[in-house]
Amino acid sequence: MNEILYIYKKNRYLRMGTIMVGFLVLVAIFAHVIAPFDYDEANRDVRLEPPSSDHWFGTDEFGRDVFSRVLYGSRIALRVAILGVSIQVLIGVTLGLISGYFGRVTDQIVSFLADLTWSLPPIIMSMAVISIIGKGLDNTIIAISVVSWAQYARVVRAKTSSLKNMAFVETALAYNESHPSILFRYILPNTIPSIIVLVSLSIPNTIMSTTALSFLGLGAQPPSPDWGLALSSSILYLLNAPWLAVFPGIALVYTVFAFNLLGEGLRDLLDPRLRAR
Amino acid sequence: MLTYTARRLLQGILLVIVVSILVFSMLHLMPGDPVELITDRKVPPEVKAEMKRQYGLDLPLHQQYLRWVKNILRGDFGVSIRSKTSVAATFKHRIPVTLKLTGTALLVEFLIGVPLGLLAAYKKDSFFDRAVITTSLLFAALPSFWIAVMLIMVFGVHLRILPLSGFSSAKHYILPVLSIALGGIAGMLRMAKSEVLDVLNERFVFTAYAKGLDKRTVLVKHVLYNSIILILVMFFLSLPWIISGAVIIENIFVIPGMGGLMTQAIINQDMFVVQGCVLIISILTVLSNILADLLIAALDPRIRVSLSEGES
Repeated sequence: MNEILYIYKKNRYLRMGTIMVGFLVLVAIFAHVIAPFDYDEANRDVRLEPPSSDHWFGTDEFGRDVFSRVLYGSRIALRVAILGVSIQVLIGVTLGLISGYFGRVTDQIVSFLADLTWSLPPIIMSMAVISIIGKGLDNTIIAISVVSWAQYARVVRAKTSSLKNMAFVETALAYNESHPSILFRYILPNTIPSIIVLVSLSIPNTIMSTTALSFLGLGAQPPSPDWGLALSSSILYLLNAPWLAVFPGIALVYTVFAFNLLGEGLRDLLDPRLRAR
Repeated sequence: MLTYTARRLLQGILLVIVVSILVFSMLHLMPGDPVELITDRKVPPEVKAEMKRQYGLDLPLHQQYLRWVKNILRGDFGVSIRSKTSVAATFKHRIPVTLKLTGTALLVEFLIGVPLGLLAAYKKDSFFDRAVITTSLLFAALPSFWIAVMLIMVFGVHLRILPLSGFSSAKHYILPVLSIALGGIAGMLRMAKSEVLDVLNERFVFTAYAKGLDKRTVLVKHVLYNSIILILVMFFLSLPWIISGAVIIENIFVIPGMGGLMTQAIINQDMFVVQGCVLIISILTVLSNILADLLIAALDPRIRVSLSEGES
C-alpha cells in the first residue's frame, strides 16, 4: 500500500491521468443521473439558445440540451475505447505471440501484415473497410481496430522471441508442456506490462480516429450524442451558435489528453525502456 | 547501395501487389453481387447477365484480377456509378489538389517544427524549452477537425478575413494548411528535439569539440547535419498521417481533392471510385516510404556501411 502511495507521489502524469480518466468514467456511468435532460429530448421552443442557467452549454438546432448530450457522449467515447482496444489486443497480441514463438514463415507473414497496416494511412484503410461493412459506430470501431493492431503485434513479438529462450520456458518444454500452454501460462503473463502501456497509449488514437470518422458522417449516426457528429453539424451554425462547436470539442480534447497523461504515467511506471523510443 | 535499392524496391512492389489484391477483393467482399450494386433493381436479369459478361465478372477470380490490373495500368479505373464519368478523369483533377495541400502542410510543419525543436534541444530545460514542449503536448491532443472548426469560427465567420471553403487562391490555403499542420508541428518539434539531443550526446560531437572546433561549427556542421537525416526519416514516415489528416480537412473546407471524393464515394457506395482512391493513396504512401529509406541510406554513411555489411 505504501509503495502505491509512493508511486503516486512521484509520478505526476499517472496521478493527473488517473484523476482525469476516473472523472470521465464517473461521468459516463452516471450520465443519466447528472444530465438534466435526455440526450435526444428536443424542445422546439428553445432552439439554438446560448448557454444559460437552464441549459449550461446552450441548446442545439433541435432544441436539445448540449450539456446533457456532451455528458452522454462520454459513454460513446468509453465504448470506443473498450471495444476498439479489445479488438486490437485480441488481434495484435495473438499474432505477436504466434509469430514471436514460432518464428520462420509465420513470423515473416505476420511481420509483413504488420508492416502493411503500419505503413498505410489508417483513416484511408478504415474508410476502405467501412465501404465494405457499412457505416455506423460499431462498424467504425471495428474498421479502425482491424488496421491498428500492428504495434501490439510488434512489441509482443519482440518480447516473446526473447522470452522463449529463457530457462523457464526450456524447463517447461522439458516437462513436455504443450505450446499453447507455454504461450499462455508462461510467456503471455510476462508481456502484460507492455500490453497495458500500449493499451493506454492507443486509446487516445482510437477515440480520435473514430470521432474523425463520425465527423465525416461514416461513424455514429443521428441522433447519437457522439462528439464528432455534434462537431460536424455545428459547422452550419458557427456564426449564431458557436457553443455547439466549442463544448463537444473541449470534451473530446479533455478525453484524449486524460488518456495521454495516463499512458505516459503508466509507461514510466511499467516499462521505462519504451520511453527511449 | 545498389542491392539495397533493388531490395527496397522489390519490397515496395510486393506491398503494392498485396494492396492491389486487397483493393480488388473489396468489390467481392461487399455483401451482394457487384452488378446489383451498380444497377437498379428494375433492370431485367438478361441485361444483368450481359453486364456481368461485359465486366468480366463471370470469369474466375484470378483472371478477373489480372484483367483489372491491366485496365488500371492502362489508366482505366472504371466508371463512377453515380456521376457516370470516368474515374481516371476525376482523379486527374483531384490528385494535384491533395498533393498541393499535403505538400504545403508538410513544408509548414517542417519549417516551423524543426527549428523550434532544435532550439528547444539546444536550450534544454530553459523556460523556452518547457514552454514550447508544453504547448506542443496540448496541440497534440487537439483533433485537426476541431482546430479547423475553431479556425473557421474565428477567421472566417467572426473576423471574415479568410475564405471558408474552396481552393482557388493562396488565401484559401491558409486555414486548411494550418488545421493540418498545427498538430503535426507539435509532433515534429518534439521529435526534432529528441533526435538533436541524441546527436548532441554522440561521441563524434565530443571529438569535434576536442579537435578544437568552435561551437558554431560543431552545431551546424555536425549536429545539424546528422539530425536532419533522422528528421528526414520521420518527415517521410509522417506522410501517411498527413494524408489521413488531409482527408478530413478536405471535407470541412470543401476542397476538391481525393479526401472529399473518397468520403462521398463511400457514402454513395460508389465502389470503383473508392477502390481507385485507396489504391492511389496507398501507392503514394509506399513510394514515399521507399524514398525515405533510400534518402537515409544515401545521406548517412553509418547506415550505408551497416547495410553493405548486412548484405555480405
